[in-house]
Amino acid sequence: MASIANSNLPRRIIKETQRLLSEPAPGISASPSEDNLRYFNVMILGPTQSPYEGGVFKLELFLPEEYPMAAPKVRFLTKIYHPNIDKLGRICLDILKDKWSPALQIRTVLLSIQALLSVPNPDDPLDENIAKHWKTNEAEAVATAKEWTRMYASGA
Amino acid sequence: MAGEGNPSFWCYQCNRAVLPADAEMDVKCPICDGEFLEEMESPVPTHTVQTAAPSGQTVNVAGDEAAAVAGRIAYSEEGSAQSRIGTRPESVAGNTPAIFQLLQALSGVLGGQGAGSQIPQAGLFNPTIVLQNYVGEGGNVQIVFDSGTGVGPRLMPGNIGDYSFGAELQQLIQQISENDPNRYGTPPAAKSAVESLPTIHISEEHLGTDYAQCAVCKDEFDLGSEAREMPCKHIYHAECIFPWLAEHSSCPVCRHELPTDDAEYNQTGVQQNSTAPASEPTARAEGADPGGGGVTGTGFRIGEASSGSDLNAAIRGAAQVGGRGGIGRRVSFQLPWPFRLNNTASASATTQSETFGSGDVSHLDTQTGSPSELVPDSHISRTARGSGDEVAEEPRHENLG
Repeated sequence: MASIANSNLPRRIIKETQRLLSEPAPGISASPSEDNLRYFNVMILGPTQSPYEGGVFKLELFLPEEYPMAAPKVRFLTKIYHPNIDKLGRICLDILKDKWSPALQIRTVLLSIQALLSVPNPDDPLDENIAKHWKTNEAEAVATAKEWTRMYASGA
Repeated sequence: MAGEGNPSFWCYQCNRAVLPADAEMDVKCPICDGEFLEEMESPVPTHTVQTAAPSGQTVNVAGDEAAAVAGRIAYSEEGSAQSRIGTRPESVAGNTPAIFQLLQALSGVLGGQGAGSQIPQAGLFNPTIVLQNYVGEGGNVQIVFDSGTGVGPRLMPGNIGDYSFGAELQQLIQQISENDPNRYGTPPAAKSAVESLPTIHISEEHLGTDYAQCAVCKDEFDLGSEAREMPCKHIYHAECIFPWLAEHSSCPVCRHELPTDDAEYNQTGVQQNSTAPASEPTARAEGADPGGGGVTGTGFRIGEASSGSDLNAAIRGAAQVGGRGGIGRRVSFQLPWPFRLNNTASASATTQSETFGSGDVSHLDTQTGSPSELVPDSHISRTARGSGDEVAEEPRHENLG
């Protein structure tokens, strides 16, 4: 990322990027695209003891012009069976919406998403069918989530 | 429909419903002047739109209203100033933001609640005002689409499946509203409150604490440099905090809210507060959170616990209680604060998660890490909320590192 210092990125984004690369959070990697330093390719490992354990989930993260006054835009690229993530990969997470704060950062956002994988919340569903599944037959829903993890997130 | 009211015609050239100037004498499309028109039959109600008023009363609106909504949504992208959907003269698409068109469409539904209300009367309704009224009472807007059968009315040619309803409509609204990130969260802080934030000089005491760094730019403060102090004692560079406060009244670290110039926002908060029952220990505990942030809970508790600081949550709380137990699909619209401003052309709607008619109405936000939990801040009172806490643990610890 030699070009990063020469870009006209806000200093905070540069700092965040450098730290993401030098001290990645456990189970999370995020690296900026070469074409667009506001666009990050993200990988999150499925948390242990979750249905997503063993999975490698790809996400995309984009820092809008307003960042950090506005939240990053984050989306799962890997198919995932989770009540708070819809089939387009969009994530139902309050800090990406009305609870965004400029004190948050890429790292905390990604850790929150990782945490969301550990604790699915079917009471605040984004995908109604998955949430219903989760609430009516959690064991089966978890099994499906594991199956999807195996099928789509096996670290290809 | 012929012979009564305003007969509508379908222009096969314009591929839209039109209203000829003189239907009796000379049936011509007012737009293309063509004569390839077909008089439209009285639509068969196939879809029921219900608007659930805050009081719990449910209003059934005839199917043609629903169809008109669909039609207007469906046509919203093609408009010109002349474009008329159905018989609504006010239905002008074109340069209007998509979200506003959607609101207009919704207003048709809301406006149709009077007995025997016909489409043209919907023109009297200003969506902002209508929605305002609903929000003013802490209510919500719900549209329920019963699973109808049969061919849709002419206003909505084609298959109902081609249009955005239910989850898709919700997603559509969400997508539209997401285009403006500033629609989220608290309203701007009052200018006077911002200007009166004391300026402090960074001393040795600040350095080496959680306060050594500006939480917005993540830079360390320089010894002796100036910073602005919020009432909650969190300090920021002026150039860092002012842009945020110009959009939102909350402290980035703890969500403590400065006063806003939005009287209604303030007032609604007070109302929410005053109606909170005392017999809600959990709610009270959450309300005591200095930031009022990360407010979560189920059903009404959200609203009551919000200590007046989180209107959205309050609305959401109310929304989840009203009008449940029906059948079919139910979309709850969460109406953010901008709605309560008069004549706000840029009003938008964010959507709330879809609930199931007979399902659990509890609505637990995924509060997986509000800043109060993510940012080192020892004096945040964290509240027990079951799984939410576990979720927040890791990020919080991480950030301490």
